Amino acid sequence: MRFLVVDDSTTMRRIMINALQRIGYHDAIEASNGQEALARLDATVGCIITDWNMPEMSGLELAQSVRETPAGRRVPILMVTTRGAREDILAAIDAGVNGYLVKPFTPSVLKEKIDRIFSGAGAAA
Amino acid sequence: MRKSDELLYDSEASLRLVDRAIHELKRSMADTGEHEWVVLDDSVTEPGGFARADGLRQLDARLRDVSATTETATTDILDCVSRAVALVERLGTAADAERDAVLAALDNELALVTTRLQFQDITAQELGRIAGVLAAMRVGATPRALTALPEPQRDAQAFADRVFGQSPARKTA
Repeated sequence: MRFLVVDDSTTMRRIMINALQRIGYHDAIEASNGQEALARLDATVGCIITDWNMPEMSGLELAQSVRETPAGRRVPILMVTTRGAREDILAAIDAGVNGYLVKPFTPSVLKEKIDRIFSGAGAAA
Repeated sequence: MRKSDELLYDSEASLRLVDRAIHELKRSMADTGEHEWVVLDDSVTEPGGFARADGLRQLDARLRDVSATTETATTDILDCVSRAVALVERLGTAADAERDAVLAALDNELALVTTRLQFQDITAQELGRIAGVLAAMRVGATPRALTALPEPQRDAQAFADRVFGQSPARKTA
C-alpha cells in the first residue's frame, strides 16, 4: 500500500517514513504542504498521513479538499498532530479524517491506528 | 493639616505626576511605533493589565516546559546511544545463539531514538504558538490572544480513540 506523508517538517516526514518502514510499509511518497499533497494525490495512494499545523493549507483544510476530489473521496486520512484539544479532534472528524494520532508516537501505536482504520473501526468504516 | 493628611496629599500628587509621565511616554512611544513599552506600561496601569501579566507568566511556564521537553528528549537519546554502543560491543563477542537477541535489542534502541526525535517538531510547533501569542499581545495588547494557546490535553489520544471508534462513515462515501 502506498502512503502519502504530508508534513512541512522534513524531520517529521523522515521520522514518519522510518516508522512506516519499521511496521512493514515501504511505499511512501512525500509532500511538504497541502497544495503539494493535492497535486500528488492519485488513485495509487492508499492512505494519507498528514500533520495538522502547516503553512498555507492546514491538515484540516487538506482533509476537506481531499474529500472534494474523485481520487480522495474514499482514501483514509490519518491526522498526526500535537493538537490534543477535544474541539480539534471533533473538527477532524467533521473534516472527514479517519484516524487521529497524537505526537509523540511510537511505530507500534502508528501500526495500531493504521490497522484500526483498515479494519473498519475508524470513521471511514 | 495633620501629618497623615499631608502624607496622603503628597502621595496622591506623586501618583498623579507618575500617571501623567506614563501617559506622555505612552503617547510618544505610540507615535514612534514602539508598542513594546505600551504593553509593559498597560500591564500595570490598565484593567486588562493583570490578565496580561498573568498571560506572560503562562507563556513563561510554557517556555520552561519546552526547555524541559528538549532536555528530557536529549537525555533519552543519549541513553539510547550509550546502550546501542554497548550492544554493538557485545555483538563482537556474542555467541551465535545470542546474536539475534542482541540485534533485536539494538534495533529497538534505534527505534527509540527515532521516536524521541519527534521532540524537535513538537517543540518547534509549541514555540511557533508562543511566538504567535507574543506577537498578538505586542500589537493588540489583549489577553484574549492567549486563547490561541490551548492547554495540552493529557488524555487526548484516549478521547480521539473513543470518538473515532464510535464515528460512522461521514465524508468518505
